[in-house]
Amino acid sequence: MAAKNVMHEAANCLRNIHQKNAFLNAFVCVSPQKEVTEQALASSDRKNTGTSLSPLDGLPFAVKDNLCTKDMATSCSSLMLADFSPEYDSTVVSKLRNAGAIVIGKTNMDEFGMGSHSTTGSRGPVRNPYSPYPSVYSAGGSSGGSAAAVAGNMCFGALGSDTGGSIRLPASYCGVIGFKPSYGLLSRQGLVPYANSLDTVGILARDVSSARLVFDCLNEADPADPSSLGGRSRRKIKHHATGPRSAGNQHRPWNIGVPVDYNVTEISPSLKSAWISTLANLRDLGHNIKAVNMPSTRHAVSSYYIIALAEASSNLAKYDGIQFGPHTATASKPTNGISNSLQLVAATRETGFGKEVRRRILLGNYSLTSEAMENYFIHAQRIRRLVKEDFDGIFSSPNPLSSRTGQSLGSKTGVDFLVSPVSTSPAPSLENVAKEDGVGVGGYINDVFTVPASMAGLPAISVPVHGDGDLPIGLQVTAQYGDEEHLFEVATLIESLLENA
Amino acid sequence: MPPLSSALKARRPLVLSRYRGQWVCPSCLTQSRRLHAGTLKTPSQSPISPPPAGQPRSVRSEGKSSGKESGNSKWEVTVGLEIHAQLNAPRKLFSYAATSFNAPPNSRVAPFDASIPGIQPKLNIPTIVPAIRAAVAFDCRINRRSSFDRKHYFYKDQPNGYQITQFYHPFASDGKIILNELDGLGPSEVIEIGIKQVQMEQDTAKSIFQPSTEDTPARTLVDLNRAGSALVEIITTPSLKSSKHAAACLKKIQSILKASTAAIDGMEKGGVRCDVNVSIQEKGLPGLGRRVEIKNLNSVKAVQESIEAEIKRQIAVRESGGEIEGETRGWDAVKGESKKLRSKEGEVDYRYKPDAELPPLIIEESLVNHIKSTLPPLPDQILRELMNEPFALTLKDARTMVDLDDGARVDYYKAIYKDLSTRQDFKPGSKHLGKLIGNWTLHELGGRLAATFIAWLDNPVTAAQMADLLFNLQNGMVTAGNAKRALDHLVTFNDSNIRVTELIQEYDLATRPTEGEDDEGLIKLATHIISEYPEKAEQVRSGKKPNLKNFFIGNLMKATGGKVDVQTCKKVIEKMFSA
Repeated sequence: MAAKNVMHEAANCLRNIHQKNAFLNAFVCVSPQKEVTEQALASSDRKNTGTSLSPLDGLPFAVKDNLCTKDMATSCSSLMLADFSPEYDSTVVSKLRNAGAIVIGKTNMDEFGMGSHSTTGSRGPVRNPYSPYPSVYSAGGSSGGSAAAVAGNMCFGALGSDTGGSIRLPASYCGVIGFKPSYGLLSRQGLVPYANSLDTVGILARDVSSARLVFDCLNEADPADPSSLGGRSRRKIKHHATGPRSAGNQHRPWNIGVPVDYNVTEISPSLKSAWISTLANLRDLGHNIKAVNMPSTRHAVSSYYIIALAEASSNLAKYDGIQFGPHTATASKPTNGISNSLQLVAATRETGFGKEVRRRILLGNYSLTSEAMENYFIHAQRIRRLVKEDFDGIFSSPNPLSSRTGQSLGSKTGVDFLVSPVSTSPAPSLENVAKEDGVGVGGYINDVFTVPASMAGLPAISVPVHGDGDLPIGLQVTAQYGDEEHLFEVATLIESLLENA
Repeated sequence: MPPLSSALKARRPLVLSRYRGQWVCPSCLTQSRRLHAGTLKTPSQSPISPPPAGQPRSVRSEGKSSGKESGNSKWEVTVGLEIHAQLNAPRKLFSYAATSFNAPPNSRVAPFDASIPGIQPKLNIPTIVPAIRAAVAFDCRINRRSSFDRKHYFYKDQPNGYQITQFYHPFASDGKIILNELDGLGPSEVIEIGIKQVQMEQDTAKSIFQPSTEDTPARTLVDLNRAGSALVEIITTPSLKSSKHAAACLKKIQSILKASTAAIDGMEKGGVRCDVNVSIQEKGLPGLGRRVEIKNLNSVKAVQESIEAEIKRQIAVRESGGEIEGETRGWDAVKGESKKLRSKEGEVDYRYKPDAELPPLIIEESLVNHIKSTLPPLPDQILRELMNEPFALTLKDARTMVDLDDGARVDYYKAIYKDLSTRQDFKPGSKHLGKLIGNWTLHELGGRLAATFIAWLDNPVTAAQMADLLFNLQNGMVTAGNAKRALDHLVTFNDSNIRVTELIQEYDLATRPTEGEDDEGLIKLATHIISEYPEKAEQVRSGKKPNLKNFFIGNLMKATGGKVDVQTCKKVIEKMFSA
């Protein structure tokens, strides 16, 4: 991007934030205009003198409010962290800054990432930029603020986090690219954890090539994150991904898998037709479409919720009113054998957490109790392994980190990618979201497409495709662990179908 | 971290794909060895403090109440111990913050210790090394692969809302310790106590209650310095049969922890804490009775007394037809009674869960072998060595030497022994050399140091000086009396340059050569003394008070300036009176 465009981009984003944020509610905190302008100026000076720091130099980014930033509060849209001003930048944010990017603001989300519509937080709901007036539609969640900010041209790209679909779903609803990398590639240091074995930092952007630029900037080992892959494993993955296919085999058609188990009855007609027409287009381009079986899918969602909520109940135990949380409660006398200090903890957690978070903590706590542990948590871990084995069984390349190799079907029978919906339908109206809130677990069926990749730690990307209504629709591409390289290639291909339509 | 990467090169761990294994290998020792030399000096013992109250001592010496509980009764007692010991490590278990003893509050806190959101744990591999030393000393199996779990409960001293521990897969299990006569048991009594497991875990913060003042209401302050420091928890099997055995076992565990340099501070400094489980069952019935846990005991005395009180309480309940409730109790050392903290229903469900953040811990066998081969001798070994020839110390003296000053007296003792036993011109005298050195090290020197409030660390008498002194004593160059005077001098003047032979010359302390009982000079002196006390001499002669001979012997020695040994003086006096 040329020097004067850097200034233009920053000014444009600031103007859009100024004009649209009151309605979209995408940002909960915006950097002072003066600072943004100064940083853009400095960047354009660098560009003029040929000392640009990176391709991202000077570009404005939005950061989900669960990623720590040292100059802005990090609330996770929770009252519990309303006053939390970290003294450090999360690793991904500091990498962006070191590349010259400008952090333009922090984005709204579901409280601690717990929700699918960015409505459960303390800062009010995010609204979908594509909402047809006067209706208001869901931006998806939990990274709804980041998705709406990208869709509303309020930033060049955004960081989000994806635990079970929290980037891919809002990306699909808002018509932007939503990319969840393989677990362990982007550092989680500075990401306030929801469920740490699933939490993945990811990227929202206007197009695949931008998402890829950001990914390349952030994809590095971080010793501060014990789950960040070390150099040795990274080399192994790289070797793996670039190995077989680049050996004079570049024009081999893709084998694209369609999981029959994902074809649930709840899929809306518009989504189904988008899925089918995209697959047809790919086939017309010479690629092979294959049906694959993923029998563990039907247990994946329930297992996901057991694991995610159990981890959440543990990770959120630190918010007890001593270091964090509103000090609203005053200790009274011990009642029912509960000490003063425990009453204080209970009162703080009652007022500091929203309804959805409290519900999830309770469920998570239950599955970890000694009587439920074996039946739920341990069982869910087993299913998680089965889900991973499902994937390893259908992909043409083996999982590079798996200790067992040779269990895949091999390049002849296996598939290179899966193409599936992200959600059962385009964005629902917030009115309908509110109606369904707390009514059974029907809403969870929406997670059936996104959760399996999270359980297996695989890279997945949501790409906008041609739908038949006013609202955007995305399809999801999932690849074998560490195969981001080819994931981007096929995502670019699908992206181009929309442009050519 | 270099050890990690070098270990990774060696071999790949079989771990879940998204984890990197945390490897511990011999190269980690380069860091931990350094940590040793440093930390051994840090625990500053106040020079004038008496031996701390909780030091392991022979059980026999305080066994007033021991054995009472299991005497007549039809009840069989079963006790198990859970011991928490602060590991001898310079940094915390999962953060870079230094461990501290007396640092200002909240000055040794890394962001992770303060549970700052978004900050993750990072295992400090060198903290594992002292833990392995402890486990090896307890004869445990070291598990190649272990993992970390979270134990949840809300408390102000637990900033994360959970403690990281090793519940499901501890790094060491199935060990044992042997209690025997060295621990105060009967001469042929030997019992084996199983160690169920040894696990790594985090210590808690400290909460400090502040009563209200004019300006501030009563409040609790939290000091995070201790939060996240490394502990080992040692869990015995429920196989102890009395409070006496429990106390002996606890002492033994402490002394093994100390000897293996796994944990330096004992209970007296808060470095070791203990929970006990007590149950009773009618003799002859299978299984164990319902167990009651007594938490947070901080001395051997408290452990012994609380178990005795608990046994009494349980027997009283059972004999009046009641049932024992599974419950947790606390011990009030002042009142000498326990009180119920919570019943089984009110029990906290800790919701143990594997920590998804931390990769499994892989301990290489080569490291374990290295630690085994370099483990310092354990208390029983040292005691047996000191009690056998050539040292032949009594159990009491051997134990004193081992228990005090982290074994520094043993080193001193052995240095003197080695020095003397290798001297060419050394003529072993009538005294047993090992015992002689023991006596002079522990009692003569030890007594003088205690009387003048000098700590052993500041001992003014070098091993070489003591060896010279005993050389002269044993060779008959100086009498015991004058050797003691010389020792007084050495203690007082605290100068390692003083040469004992010169000292003897300078102060004319050398033994005067005599011709034994026929020595004319001595006979002259004796005659003079006897003539000075005619009444006393008469009482000796008449056989009324034969012991008064000692009075004359003492005076004769005094008259020679202590330069003639007591035996000769005695013979002279005997001869005078028998004449």
